[in-house]
Amino acid sequence: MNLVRGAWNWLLLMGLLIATTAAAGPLTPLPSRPQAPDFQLKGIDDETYRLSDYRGRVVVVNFWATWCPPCREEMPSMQRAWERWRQAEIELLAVNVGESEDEVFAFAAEYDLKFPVLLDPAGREVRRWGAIGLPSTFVVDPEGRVAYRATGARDWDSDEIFRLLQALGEPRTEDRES
Amino acid sequence: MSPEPVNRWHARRVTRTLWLVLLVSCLEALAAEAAQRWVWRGDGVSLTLEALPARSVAAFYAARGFPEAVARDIASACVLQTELVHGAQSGKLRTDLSQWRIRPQGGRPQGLSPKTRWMAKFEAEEVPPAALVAFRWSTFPWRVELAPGEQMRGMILYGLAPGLRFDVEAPLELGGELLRARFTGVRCPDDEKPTKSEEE
Repeated sequence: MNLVRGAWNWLLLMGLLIATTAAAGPLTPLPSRPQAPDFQLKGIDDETYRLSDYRGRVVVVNFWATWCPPCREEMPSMQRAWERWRQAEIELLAVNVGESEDEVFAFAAEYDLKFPVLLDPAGREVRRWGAIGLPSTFVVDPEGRVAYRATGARDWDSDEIFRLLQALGEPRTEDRES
Repeated sequence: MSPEPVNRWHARRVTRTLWLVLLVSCLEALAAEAAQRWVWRGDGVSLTLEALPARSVAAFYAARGFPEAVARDIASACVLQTELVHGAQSGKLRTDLSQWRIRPQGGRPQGLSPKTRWMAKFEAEEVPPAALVAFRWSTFPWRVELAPGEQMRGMILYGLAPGLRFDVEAPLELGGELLRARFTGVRCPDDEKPTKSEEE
């Protein structure tokens, strides 16, 4: 009986260790807040999206591809997050890297994505933003600076991330004083 | 109960637990080997190499726009999915593939072929630009820097023959400290290279 209980405890511990190791943490802050590279990209809805048009709002810019498993994994949570974020005027721009409009359109329909999906067919913007892999996500503050980064998939509709984005949209102490 | 039987009971319990740990570790290693997956863990960091069947790799790159012959060549270049997870509490995690060393069984240590060399080869073979973009982003970055909680996944082409066993030494830097991830007996995928007639 003890042996069974011991084995169970050990397996539970191993499971927890593995889960802890694999869990994605919160967003990575970029204390230097570099200026976000502006872009003008076509969306699958035929609209043109320019990042600088969103100045004054928090914008989440996600680089992804349909063939990238972690990108696919995080898309449903991104859709749920966007439904919540839009109420708080937090924007989401999902930039597809290197694929045709038809492929991306079919994927967006399959996953029922309602947020803006943009096209970066030559992968030029993803390089300018300094991403090292996919998915890579950057959070741009209302002043157009990159405040957070996330390399790899995240659970985007978590309360923790929502609170971080909300706080970023609030005027900072020094802004209020000036 | 006198102290001696209690001590003996504890000793038996510890021995049983140790045996169990050993057994489960062996089973885990056997399962990983069966799945063609090799895992290194240390200081909250994990590095996983997983052999990808050549047929799947060829199909993936053909679907991304590579000519079928080139997609087959990539697939036979010993492609392993690689995942680096930064699960430690603090410190930046870095690795540079130019520092990785592989030693084929019975061979000498060698480095990895840079991604740029593969891409130059594909450009010479007139691979379409969209396919090159897919290659660039589906392969593991040459240099990686991760913050706690971040992870990176991508394919690495080892350029070795199908079925060949080899060792890998992957230096990682966590918060300025060197970690040496070592893998022994990693095996290149050896499923039969898909032929043109099979694909048709």
